[in-house]
Formats: sequence, structure tokens, C-alpha cells
Amino acid sequence: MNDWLFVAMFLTGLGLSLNAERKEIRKATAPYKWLYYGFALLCVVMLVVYFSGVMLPLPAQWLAQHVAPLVERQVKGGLM
Amino acid sequence: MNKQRIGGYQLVMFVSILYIHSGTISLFKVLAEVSGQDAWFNFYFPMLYALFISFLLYRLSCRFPGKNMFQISEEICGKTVGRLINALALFDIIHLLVRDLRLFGDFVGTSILTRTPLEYILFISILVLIYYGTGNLEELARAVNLLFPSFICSILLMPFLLLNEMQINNIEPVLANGWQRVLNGGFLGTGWAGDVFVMGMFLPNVKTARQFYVLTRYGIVLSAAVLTILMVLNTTVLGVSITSRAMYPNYTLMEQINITDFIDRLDLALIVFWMPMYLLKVILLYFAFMAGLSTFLKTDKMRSMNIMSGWFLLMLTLVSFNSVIEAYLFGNYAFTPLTLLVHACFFGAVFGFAAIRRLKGRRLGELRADDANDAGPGAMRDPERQNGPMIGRFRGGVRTYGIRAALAVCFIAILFGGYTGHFNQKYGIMGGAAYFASFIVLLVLVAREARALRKS
Repeated sequence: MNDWLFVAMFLTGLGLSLNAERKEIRKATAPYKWLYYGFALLCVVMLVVYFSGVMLPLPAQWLAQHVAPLVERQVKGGLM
Repeated sequence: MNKQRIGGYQLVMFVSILYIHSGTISLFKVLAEVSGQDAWFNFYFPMLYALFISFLLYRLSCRFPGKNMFQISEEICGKTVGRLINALALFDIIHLLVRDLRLFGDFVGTSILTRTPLEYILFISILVLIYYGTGNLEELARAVNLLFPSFICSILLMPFLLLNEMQINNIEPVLANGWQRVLNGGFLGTGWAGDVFVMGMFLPNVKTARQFYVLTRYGIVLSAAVLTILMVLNTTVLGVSITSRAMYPNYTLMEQINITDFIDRLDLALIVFWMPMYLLKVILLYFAFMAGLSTFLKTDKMRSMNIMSGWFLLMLTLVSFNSVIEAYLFGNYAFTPLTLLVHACFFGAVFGFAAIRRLKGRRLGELRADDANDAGPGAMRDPERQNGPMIGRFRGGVRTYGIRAALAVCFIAILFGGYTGHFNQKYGIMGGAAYFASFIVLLVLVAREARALRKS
């Protein structure tokens, strides 16, 4: 229930934003449009990924899984 | 965005919320794990790093007044390399936002709103970010202005509120484990202190480079002092083992406030000041992100991008981590190397290209000087031969030397205590006392310098 409500709220918010800003976006430059619609597309992709439980190797996750243990060992293990 | 001005003390507050709130949620636990009872010395090395970053930004601001660090890097490094390192810096800022939002969401979800799902906490936070994003920096500054004094008062009151719970012998033996542990803890704190880097996006909003340098320095030292006080309180009230095991030691510390038998939920009153301040820090980071995007897109009309960026950040924060532990590991351990790498690339490229340009300019000047000898004395006045003027350059007085001396004494005190503390406990205490005294002197000197700047 909570998940579906969140999805509905998020998609409503995203849809309303796209609808409200479409006239302004039409006048914007090409890079602006690309970035704007790129963000919108990424939002939908990430929403699907999040609720389907797929693990994407995003930079933050990769750093937490691979770099953090090394740093932890370095500062706690006393290599210095 | 460039036309908005932020006042002197607003700048101090911005830097303070960036730095103080860098570690209030989870850093204290890690520092207690690494440095034990000496964790209160851990804010010295991050403070030095933050001062160094602010100095580099000040140098850039002197050469290019009225421009933010992205514009400066494009100007110095050229379009391609400049944009590349700006993209790297923007990547860092996005991850600062993701880290802070996720830690905030997890903290609120596990400590305050325990039955509210994380998605909703982040959703509401993002709506606040978007709302502030539609306004301007001055409005944010006014909100910070309103809350910051109460926040600082709440922290300064804590030693008095916790007086009955303190056990001073919890911080003993002082520096008996050597200075390496302090350095290791300091290394972890450096990643959080590096948040000061985003102030480079607000360089055009400050009147002069000198004002930026002096007031940023004040904000950094003030924040380090506040964090040191909090760490001392954590160690003396909770002890090292609880501080290193509690997920949110500062919140646990607040819960320890018991004045008589009936005033025992003061933590709720204090959290009212702490949480909005944390959110204001995230909003400040969001402003830096928007300013970065604005520089990339070369437009000031960011209203629609603001809303879409908010949604994007919400989903990125949710997708980036599987659990609170991952966010905690990322923020406390993995972020330091990332921060150092990004800062090294950014400043290395900017100052490297600037040095190359200066060398080329000098060679060109020498060649032209040879021609000028043939042509006559008037030909020597070539603007390319001269380096750009350092506008608003800060020339230190007695107080500046005092600040440097106080910083040096702090360092010597840590080294002295670290080397001799395990031989005799008295030497460790002497080192700790010297560190404490010189830190107070440092704080007084930077505050006086900021006041002198205001009068001048």
C-alpha cells in the first residue's frame, strides 16, 4: 500500500511538473532540454529499478562496497 | 543568481552549517571507534584541510572576482578540460547531496518518525528543497539567520545541561595511544570538512575575496570548536564504548539530559533546532548544485530545472544505497578518498593550467622585451607580461601571525602529547591542555579579525 501510494505521488508530481513547465521548456536551449528530459527519463527508470529490487552498480554503492572496507582497514588496522 | 549578495555573518553561518552538520549524525561514532578517548583532537586536521580549501578558493577569487569556481576553471583550463573537471566537481556535489539526504532520512526514520517509511521522509525533504530552490540565496540566508543563533545556543547550553552526567576521567589517559590515531580519525573527518568546497559556487555572492577568506576562516574554526565541544561531551557523558556503538551518538547524548526527575525529554526541544539546520545545510548544497548546473547551461532561468532536479535527487538517493549501513560506510569511509581525489583534480588542473599560462606569458614577455630593447622603452608596457592583479588580496597583520602561531601550537601539542603521553600521563595532559588553550586563542583571534573586517 505504502509503495503504491509513493509511486502514485511521485508520478503525479513528475507529471504535473512536466505539464506545468512544458511551455518554458519549449523555448529553452537544446542542452537545457536534453538535461531536463534526461532527468525525467532517469527518474522513471530509477523508480522502476527501485521497486523491482534490481541492484544497479551506482557509484555510491560501488564505493561503499569496495572502497569503504579498504579505508576502514587502513584507519583501524594501523598500517601507519 | 550572481547578483544576490550574502552578508558577512551570513557567510560565517553558511560555512558553519556546512561544517558542523557534516558529521553530527554519524561521524562521532566512527571517530570514537578509531581514536577512542582522543577523538576530540580529531577536528584539528579536517579544520586545516578546510582552511586550505578556503585559501585556494580565495586565491581564485582574487584573480577572478565576480566569478564562481566553475566559471573560473573554464576560463583558466579552457572549455573542454574546464567542463570536464566541472563535471567531476558536480558529481561530487550530487553525491554530497545523496549522502546527506540519505543519512538524514535514515536518522529521522529510525529515531524520530519510526513508523514513517523512508520514501516519504525523503519525499517531504525534497519538496522543501524544491520550495527553497524556487527562491534565492538571500531567502535561505535569512532562514539560516533565524535559526543559527538558537542552534549555537542549544549546543553551548549542552555542557551545562549535562553537567550532572559528566565523568571527566572518561577522556583520560590523554593522547596515550599516540598521534597516529588522531591522524587516522582526522583523515576520516577530512571527507566531511571538504564540504566547504561548495562555497566556491558562492564566490560571486561575497563582496570581496578578502571578506570571503576572513569570514570563511572564522566559520571553519568556529565549527571545529563546536564539534570539539560535542565530542568532549560524547566522551565524558556516554564514554568511548557507548559513543562507538551507538548509531547516532549525538542523539543519545541529548537523551541523557535529565534535570530533576520531571524534565527529561529536552532532546525533543533540542532536535527542533538541530534538524531544520541539517536540512538547511542540504538546501545550501542544493543551491550549489543548481548554481553548477546554471553555469553548465549558461542560463539563469533554472526554475523548471529546479523541480526536475529535485525529483532526480529523490530517486537517486533511494536507489544509491541498499541499507543504512551502506550509506553510513559511504559517508564515513568511502567519501574521504572521493573528496580528496575530486579536490586534487579540480585544484590541480586549475592551478596547473594557471602556472602554465603564467610561464607562457612570461616567455612571451621576455621575447617581446628583446624586441622592445630594439624598439624603445615604450614597448615594454605589455599587459600580457604582467600577472593579473590580485583584487581584494588579504594582507595579514599581527592577528594573522597569531592565528598561524596558534595553529602551529595546536599541532605541536598533539605531537608532543602523542609522543610522550604513553610514557607519562602528565605529558599527555599537558599536550591536551596546550591544545585546548591554543584552540581558544585561535577562536578568539579569528573572531576578532572578522570583527575588524566588519569595522573597516
